Amino acid sequence: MKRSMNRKWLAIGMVCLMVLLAACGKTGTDVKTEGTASGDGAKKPTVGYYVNSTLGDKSFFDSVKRGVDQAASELGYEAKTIEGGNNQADWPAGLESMITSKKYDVIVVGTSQMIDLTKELAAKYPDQKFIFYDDAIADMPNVYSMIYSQSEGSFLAGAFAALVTTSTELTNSNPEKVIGFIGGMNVPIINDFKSGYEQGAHYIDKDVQIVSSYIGNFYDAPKGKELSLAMYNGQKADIVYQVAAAGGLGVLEAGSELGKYSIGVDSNQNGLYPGSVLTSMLKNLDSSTFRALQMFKEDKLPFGKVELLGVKEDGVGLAADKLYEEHVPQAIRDKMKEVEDKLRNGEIKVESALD
Amino acid sequence: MWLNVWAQIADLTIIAVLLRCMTPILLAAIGGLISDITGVTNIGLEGLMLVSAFTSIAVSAASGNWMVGVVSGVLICVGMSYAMAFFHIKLKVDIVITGFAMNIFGSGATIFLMSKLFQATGSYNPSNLDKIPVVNIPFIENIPYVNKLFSGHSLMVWIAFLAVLFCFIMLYRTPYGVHLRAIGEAPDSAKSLGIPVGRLQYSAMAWSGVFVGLAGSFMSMGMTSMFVKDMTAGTGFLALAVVLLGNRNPIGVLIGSIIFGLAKTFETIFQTIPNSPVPSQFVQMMPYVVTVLALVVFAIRKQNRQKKGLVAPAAAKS
Repeated sequence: MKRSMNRKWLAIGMVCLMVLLAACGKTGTDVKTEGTASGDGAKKPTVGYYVNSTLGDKSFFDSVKRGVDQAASELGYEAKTIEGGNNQADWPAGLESMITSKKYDVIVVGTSQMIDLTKELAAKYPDQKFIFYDDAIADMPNVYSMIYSQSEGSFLAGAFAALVTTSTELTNSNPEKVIGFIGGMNVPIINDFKSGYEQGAHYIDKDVQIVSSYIGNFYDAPKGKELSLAMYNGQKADIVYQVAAAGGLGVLEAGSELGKYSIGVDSNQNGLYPGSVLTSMLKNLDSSTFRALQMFKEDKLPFGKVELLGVKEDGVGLAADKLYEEHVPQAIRDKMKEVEDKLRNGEIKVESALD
Repeated sequence: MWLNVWAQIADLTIIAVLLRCMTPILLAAIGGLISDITGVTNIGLEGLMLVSAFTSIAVSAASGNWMVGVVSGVLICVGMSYAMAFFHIKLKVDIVITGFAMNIFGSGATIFLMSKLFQATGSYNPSNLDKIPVVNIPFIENIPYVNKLFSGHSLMVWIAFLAVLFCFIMLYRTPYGVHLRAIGEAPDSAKSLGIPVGRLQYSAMAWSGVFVGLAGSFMSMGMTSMFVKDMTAGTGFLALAVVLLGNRNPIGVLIGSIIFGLAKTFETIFQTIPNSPVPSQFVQMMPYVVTVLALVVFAIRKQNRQKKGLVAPAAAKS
């Protein structure tokens, strides 16, 4: 008796499930026909942005999002952002389902962690176009990639840090010529930042000593803070440059707590701790993403190519906003302008650690 | 290089760093210990810490009072631990599965709530946060060297030491503690003597929630003043190892936490030495190498004692 009751419930459950599934399937096709219908009329380009993490790092991924949003509001793109989360095993399925939905004319995706996956999927779906940022995928007819010369940008940061540590105008700068660098992980891209930073510092003053360390991941903010406290207190560094996404927020906090200086990265972080975060090294992911989407709309995007965006192309640079002008002495700002111009006209050549 | 390391040890900077690094491990381990001693191994420490870290900073920023923040972080942890106990004791779900569910939930729920409540995904740093205060002891704070030992530490550091004392007294000096230990060692005999095993396990899990909650709130409001997704970064698992290493004993847990804290401290110091010849990957490995070494030492010690017959095999097995 009891057994047959159970079966009855099971049967009812199954029926409900099937009805539900059928309903879902129906709405799914509805949406699709609607999409193609409107596509035949006024053609609105669509862009999908796949984040292989979560948004909210206040730098890297958020910056690309700004570019995509700008393209949506100014170029009339229909944009959709999908956050893939931190589980790497989810990414292949996430990206592939974005492609197979056929809703997007172009998909924005990037970072070195996604390179193999994107290559594989781009070969599997040759009709899907990709804009790949922050690492290079060469010789794929449907992928355009843009890479940023982090070494050139970090050269500026290094020169800036050296000027701060030797400055007599900045009240909290001590006589020791020590500057700090905190990276997320000991990987080639981060070391390219570091190498540029060192070159920049030594361009200004050969005697500047650079202390560098790595958090080991990109989210352990307490550890980032601990490392930078050790640099400020133990090694007498005046300024620390962080390249560690969310983990680096701890670095910036330590700097402001001790009344020392820091340099932010990827997005403009000057406003987080005004007067302590003196400037930020920007990879202009937003404007370059916008630029790429603009070119895509005009059918001018060179697919199959890798573009290196440096200081000259405005791909990288220091955040020179109001706070920068308020807190950084005139002498340092003038000198930075000079260094930037020299980079622009090729007088200074920065060696990249990547090649 | 060694000169540089020595300088930091000699001027006692190392103490301040050590206390900051060991406090969350110690508090979480005390929490883990109390439930572990009753036979319920709380694998969910990491997730509970995240929940508490997020709740306490969110409430503290909203109310403008750190104490309200910490208390609500603790309360929510007690609630979550109770839920875990309910699943394990009442619904007979394996505690390891319950714990893992808690860890996944902690990570996911905090990210979700952060984006819903603050439109911030990834990190949340409120501008006007009332942090857990730093205790500066008058007179002592002006004496060189001694001030670095006793003054200028977060209140939570002292609470952590008090927690060890509290835990010791509770487990070894009260009938309640004897019962807790009894149901861990031999649940069936305890039951036959009329000790309410289930109810005591519930209460042990609640205590576990209290201390883990304190650990979590220290991470977001003491060490830093922000919440970053997954910011606990394995501290909960270190704490679990400390519980085993400390031989399920508050004093052992304290020593274990100091060992782990020291490993973290040396990692920080070695990493920030200019032109350090030691590769960063090697230095980052240190806390985990210490874990393995410590467990090996622990196992050998236990085996020796068993051979000598000092510990009854039944107790050693548990």
